[in-house]
This record gives sequence, structure tokens and C-alpha cells, in this order.
Amino acid sequence: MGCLITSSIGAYLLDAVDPAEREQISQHHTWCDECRDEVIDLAALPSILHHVFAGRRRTATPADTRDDDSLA
Amino acid sequence: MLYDRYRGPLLGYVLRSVRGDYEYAEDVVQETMMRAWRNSPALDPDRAGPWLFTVARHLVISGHRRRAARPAEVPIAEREFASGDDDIDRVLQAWQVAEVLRGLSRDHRQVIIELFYRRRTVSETADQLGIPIGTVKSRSFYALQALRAALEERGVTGS
Repeated sequence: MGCLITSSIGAYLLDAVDPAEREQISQHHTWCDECRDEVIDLAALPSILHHVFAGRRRTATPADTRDDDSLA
Repeated sequence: MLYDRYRGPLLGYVLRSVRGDYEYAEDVVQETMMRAWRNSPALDPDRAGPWLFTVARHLVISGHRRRAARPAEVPIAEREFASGDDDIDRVLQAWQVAEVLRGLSRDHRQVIIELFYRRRTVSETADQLGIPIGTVKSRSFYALQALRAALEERGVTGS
């Protein structure tokens, strides 16, 4: 893997990076083929992950997930 | 332009699944496009199709921004979701996603749960799991790749 930014893409797509880094990564993959390919490959996943709790409650709270043995 | 090319097909696809509720379908398409733009300003239009449809479908399934002003609307049962013109054959159930998550390695599952479900930042997760920030980042990247591979194996990503 050639690009150093690529390993941050997971956190970026999971919306766990701060605004400054988010902006940096967002701009970066407009010109970096490797990172853009990875973003394209993985970008649908957050929507799919959201679906695990969509049917039960609007948002999962830390207490809910901590007690949820099915995901422990 | 991504928008021009996909708006029509996406709208048709979503409309079939929301019983012709045009306003809601437009909302979903707008939100899908916003996420496309937000995630990837230079998204290659030739490659965007499958995941745009995936995002749109999941927005509908999750009842994204259902309008409170329309109490007559009933929740869409997943089996009623039209398969339409996209490549995705199966409707993804919540329990199937949970099952795929359980099938991941513990390291991968942990970072996804901490970052995505518990909404922790990278540094909070690093503290929580007792690992370096760089490890949280790279692990989350591999975790998403593993998740995608597992979903592909089940034939649900449609690419």
C-alpha cells in the first residue's frame, strides 16, 4: 500500500475523525486514486451498519450496546 | 455530473419502493446524493451506481426522515422493497448484518462498535481499548474491508 492516508479511511467513513482531518481526507481522495478506490469500495457500509439498529430504536446508546450480548 | 446521471434512475428505483410517494422519494434521492458528494467529491460516475443504489435502499429501509406530517404512511416491510434495476438481489435484514458483524474478528468488531455504534472518536476508542490511535485507524480500515468481504460472500453488496 503506497499512500499513508489510506489507513485513515475506515475512521473517516465511520465519521470518527475531527472536522479538520475529515476535510483533509475528503480533499485528499479527489486526487489520490488509491484512496478514492477504497472510499468507493467501502462507502456504502455505514448505511448497512446503521440498519442493525434501525428497526429497534432510532439510535443506539452506549448502555444499549454494552448490554447487547449479540454484538459483544 | 453524478447528479444528472443518477437522479432519474434513483428516483424511479425509490418510487417503486415507497408506493409512489414522490416527495419522500425525492428526499431520499437528495440525501443519497448528499452522502455521495460528502464522501467523495470526485466520485467516478461510472463506478458510483451500485453503491448509490445501496445507500438509497438503506435510507428507505431505515425510514430515513419519514415525514411526520403523513401519519397514514405505513412502515415499509423489507420484503416489499422492489429489487428494480440494480444488481442487488437480496434485501438485507438487520439480523443478517448483526450476524456478519459477529463473524468478524473480535478486534475488527470492537473498533466498528466503538467508532460507529457508540459514536466514540478515534482517540476515545484508543483509550477505551488501550491501543494506539494509529492502530485504531488502521484496524477500522481493515475492519471495513473485512465487513465488505463478508457481505460480498453473502451476495449482498451487488458490485
